[in-house]
Amino acid sequence: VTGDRPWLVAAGAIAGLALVGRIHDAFTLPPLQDFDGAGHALNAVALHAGRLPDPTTWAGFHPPLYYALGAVVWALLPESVPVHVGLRLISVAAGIGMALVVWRTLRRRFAPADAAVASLVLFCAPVFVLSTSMLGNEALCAFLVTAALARTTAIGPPERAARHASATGAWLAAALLTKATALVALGPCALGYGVALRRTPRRAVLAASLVVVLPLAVAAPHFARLLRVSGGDVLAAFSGGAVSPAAQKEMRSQPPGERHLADYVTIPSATFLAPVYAAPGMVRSVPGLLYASTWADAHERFLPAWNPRVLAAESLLAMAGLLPTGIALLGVIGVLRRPRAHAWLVASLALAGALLVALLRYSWILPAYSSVKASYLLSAGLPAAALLAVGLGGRSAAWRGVLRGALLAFALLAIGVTWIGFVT
Amino acid sequence: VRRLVLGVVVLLLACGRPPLDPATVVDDYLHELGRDPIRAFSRVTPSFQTRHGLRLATDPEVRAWQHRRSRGASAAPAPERPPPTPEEERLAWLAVQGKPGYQTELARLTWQIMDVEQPDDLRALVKTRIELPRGRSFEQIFQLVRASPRAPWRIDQVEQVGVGEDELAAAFVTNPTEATRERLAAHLGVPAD
Repeated sequence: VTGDRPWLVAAGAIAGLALVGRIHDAFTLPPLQDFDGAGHALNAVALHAGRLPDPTTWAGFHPPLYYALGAVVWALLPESVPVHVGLRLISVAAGIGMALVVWRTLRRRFAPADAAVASLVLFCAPVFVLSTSMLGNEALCAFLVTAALARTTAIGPPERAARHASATGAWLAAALLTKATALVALGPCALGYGVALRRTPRRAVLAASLVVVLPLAVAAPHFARLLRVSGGDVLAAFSGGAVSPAAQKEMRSQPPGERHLADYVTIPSATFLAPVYAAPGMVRSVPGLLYASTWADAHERFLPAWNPRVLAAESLLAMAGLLPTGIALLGVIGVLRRPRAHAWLVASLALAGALLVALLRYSWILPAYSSVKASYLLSAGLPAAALLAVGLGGRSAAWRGVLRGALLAFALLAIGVTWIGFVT
Repeated sequence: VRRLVLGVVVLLLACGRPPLDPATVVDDYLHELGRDPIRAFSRVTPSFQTRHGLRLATDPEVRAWQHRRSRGASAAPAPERPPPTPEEERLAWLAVQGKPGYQTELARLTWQIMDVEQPDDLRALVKTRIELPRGRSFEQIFQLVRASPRAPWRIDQVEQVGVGEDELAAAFVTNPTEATRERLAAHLGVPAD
């Protein structure tokens, strides 16, 4: 740990700076510029008035937990703090919580410096910055899913597995009451228990059942209401486009309008040189938009990309994003080489895979540029940071030092670019 | 400690501000426009949100508008569009307040409460004067209603008097409506759709 101390101090200092930037952005971003900001706002208004949102409205299909929390924050904060800022501060808090859970999980398995650097890169990645300083239920859902996933990495003795799984199920229930994305996490978490308890099959089945049944039972009334309103359309749980005429009109009008298989393999140069959806070729490119919305503000909701300096800074950040992407890919190779050593990650990696598949399918069903956003994968923050740590851990001591330093520099660059008003 | 925290939270939730008088509601509302739109939204009646006529523009509509703007008079006229649904109006009213320039325009303005009339316990009229730089001004009259004498006042209608062409931007940001937006677009010489 002694050799790790300078890295820990540096990572801690940068994390502090990132936190200040996050709070600054939550106050500075113009009101309701957030993804689906007005739709989320109407849900918060409904909960504040003591009723559930109308499920046929733009964001009315979302479960109510985030908005209920928002109503409490609205009631508690002084009127000098605008309501939308209070709602964003929930996302800020969820982001901090998620980064801390990731760090706590990784430091049990990796060198403290690698765990800290990997968690910091997650905390400073533009996709994470945008989602955790905007109002919306994405960040809270990701935090709750991450808390559940983290539990599957240390399940403990089989005789206490049912109790452990019940607590994990409670986290997942809260996540499912926040956003339907959490549905995707149920199977992977059950798998985590199944793999960890494979020598005691009965206990494995019981624990796996608990993490699936408990959240479904708690969230059933919400989803039953949606199914009733939508006439049984399952997509109504995931998109306002299924039941809200306004959202439907907007989604249908967005380019590209139809999907081709080529959209899933084409990566235009704008991915790095002008990482915004309006740049040539980007609106069609699924990998391009995914990459650009991970390492830049691809959907132009946060940073003023019309400003050439901002666009140049985003381009620099997108190119620099190749470094953590490359190290994470080395991490994938490391996991594939030694799968048994990384069995503790099975639920996390299964979730990352399931989320990616769900996103690709969603982008096919709803062929609109806004359906391809890396923030939909935010709940995969733990596996992403873990792969980064595996990639770092597999290098020689000299290379590790160089890469840690480069990643800290990347985090600083990301803070500077995403700090609203800094580049301009 | 947990009980104490819970008790404080419940107390804070229970002890909100007492119901505000009509003039304070209007003053707060004008402060909140563009700065705190969600709170401003909670100060108006549902029927208020079906009168302003604002609507969301879809992505292709924005691009078509930009095209018409670049072509000027030679551009084909915008196609007819159906009136907005109540949901579209609510979303648009909230979203417009985060648009670039909205807060800047509001920051130039000051206002004064000129008169308050309360014919009965359930209705009130608040007259304000919106003042622009260099001495220009116009009158903005708020009609407020409430369901019972103990219920909070809500803004139900807004009327603007004496708005000239030079005051259109100020009139729009203090009471965003489709009619004022179209007048403003015509004044600026840009397509009104």
